[in-house]
Amino acid sequence: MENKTQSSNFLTYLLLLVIATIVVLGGINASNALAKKAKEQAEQTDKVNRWKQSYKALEGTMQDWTKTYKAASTVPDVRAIAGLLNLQEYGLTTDPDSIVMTEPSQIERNGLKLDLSKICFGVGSEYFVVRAPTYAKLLEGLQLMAKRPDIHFGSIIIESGTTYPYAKMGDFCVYLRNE
Amino acid sequence: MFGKKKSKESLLSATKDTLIGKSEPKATKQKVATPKAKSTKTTTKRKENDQSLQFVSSYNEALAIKSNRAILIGACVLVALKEPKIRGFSALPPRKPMSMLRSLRTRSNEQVHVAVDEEILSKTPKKIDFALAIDAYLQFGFTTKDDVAVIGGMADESNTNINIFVFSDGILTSTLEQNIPSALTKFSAYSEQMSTTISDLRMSKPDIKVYIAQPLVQFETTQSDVEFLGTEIYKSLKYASLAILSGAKSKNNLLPIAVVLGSLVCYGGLIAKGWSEFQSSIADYEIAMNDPVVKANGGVGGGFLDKVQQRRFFLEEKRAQPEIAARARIAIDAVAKIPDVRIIQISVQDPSRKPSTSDQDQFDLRVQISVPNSGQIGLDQGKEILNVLSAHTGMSLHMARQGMKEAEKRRLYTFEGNLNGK
Repeated sequence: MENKTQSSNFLTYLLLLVIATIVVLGGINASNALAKKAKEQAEQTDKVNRWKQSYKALEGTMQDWTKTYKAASTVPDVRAIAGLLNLQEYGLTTDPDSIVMTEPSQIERNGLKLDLSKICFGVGSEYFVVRAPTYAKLLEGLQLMAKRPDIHFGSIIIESGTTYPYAKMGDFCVYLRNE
Repeated sequence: MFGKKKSKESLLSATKDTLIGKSEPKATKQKVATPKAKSTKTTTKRKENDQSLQFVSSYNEALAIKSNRAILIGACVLVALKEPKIRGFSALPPRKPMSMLRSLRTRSNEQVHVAVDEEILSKTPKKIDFALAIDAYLQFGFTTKDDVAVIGGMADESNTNINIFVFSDGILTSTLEQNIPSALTKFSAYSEQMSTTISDLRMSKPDIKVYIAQPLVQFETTQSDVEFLGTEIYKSLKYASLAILSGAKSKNNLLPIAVVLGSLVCYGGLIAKGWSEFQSSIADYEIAMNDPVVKANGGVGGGFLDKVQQRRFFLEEKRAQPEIAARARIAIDAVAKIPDVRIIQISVQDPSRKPSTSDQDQFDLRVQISVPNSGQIGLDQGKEILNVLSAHTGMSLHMARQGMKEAEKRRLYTFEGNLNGK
């Protein structure tokens, strides 16, 4: 009787020791699994933080972008676009009634749409025409307008005209933000 | 007290009869001097040993203990393979007749029964820890091979109480307890009886090796294969209070519970640590994601930043139009140097445009003017004008094909050329 008790005691201890070992190993496993999860999560967090850093670095660009281009929503019609050009500031005039606009096209770079519309127009079908009282004023106005990043043109043809000299501007377009 | 001893002795002699059988003393010619059997001044040796190990063989000795640990030995301990039931003795948890590993392997149910003088158990001061000498003999015997006898015990003024443990290949096969003449008072009788006992053992097992453990007193013997063991065999004994020795299970029971509880605590700690790491990583992520900037841009995916990057490139792209306007101005200024000139058309194209075949934009710069007829040959007049234009525009121009027309008093000229010497 006592005999059995003692050996069964010993077996019990052994069993408990085995259980304890399994429990501790299980704990280590679970802890490792959780640590792995935590690491993966931390990697995700890093990704977000890196994204934020890039975002910060590009914040200036975003501000420039909104400053440089007017939103399309603020330009409801042809007349508004003519007003947007602000020609009188450059000492130039045009005939708003003769402006014909093309369908806006979307600007893409490296396969990415920039959410920027290019609206091209001209008097008649080819050119956008601006006038000034003198050649000097015409050229001055053209040079000022050339600096505007939201305006694009590809050529200038200057003609004397009957009263005032004028410039026919080829491939004349404005850029508008889509939003 | 007397009665108890008597009953013990009767049991012992019975055990002896069944296990070994009586035999006459038989002397052998060989005399062995083992390294440990050098000194015969056993009394002095015992005193030395007493300083480190305290041996107790009776209740009276137990009362005189001065150290806080002692080894129970001799008459106050009973050992038998069959369960002894003797008045005045209390059973302790039985021992195994072989090593623990071996008993597990063979699933042996054999036991060595141990009992200790009740008076010692109940009346000695609780603060003293005890060990049993027989545990040391067993431990020693378990490590031996072939036939081995370990003789332990201790002498008092009246007797020498000896325990004989017979092992076969490390397994205890029999035990025997004897009272022989006191080594302290009748040394020669003691020596003689010891030799006789060894001879008795060799009746049934002639090759048996005999170990005699201190504090049994060494003696001169003619027997071969006899070795005296020092007290170092007691060094590995574990001391414990009598309550624990007599089988109180508190200590043994707490251990596995403590181990399991410890493992659970460990488990909990590990999980908690991992969990808190995981939680804090999630919290970090949520903080990062809850940033209004991230939310406003539809999360970190979706290529928003790539788009912004491309926008930056677009903003930084070099534009041709300032140069076009500047060139137009240079051309106009150059034309103005020509006396009485009239501009018909000045055309400036984007130098980076795609090549075209149309007249108007085949060249970066095209100047159409009219001047009064100077009376020179038309080409000569044209050459003069060309020199002026070239000098002031910094461009190498040439007269266009059919670039001169006569019109009454004026001449129409067309000049053209490319920027950058194209």
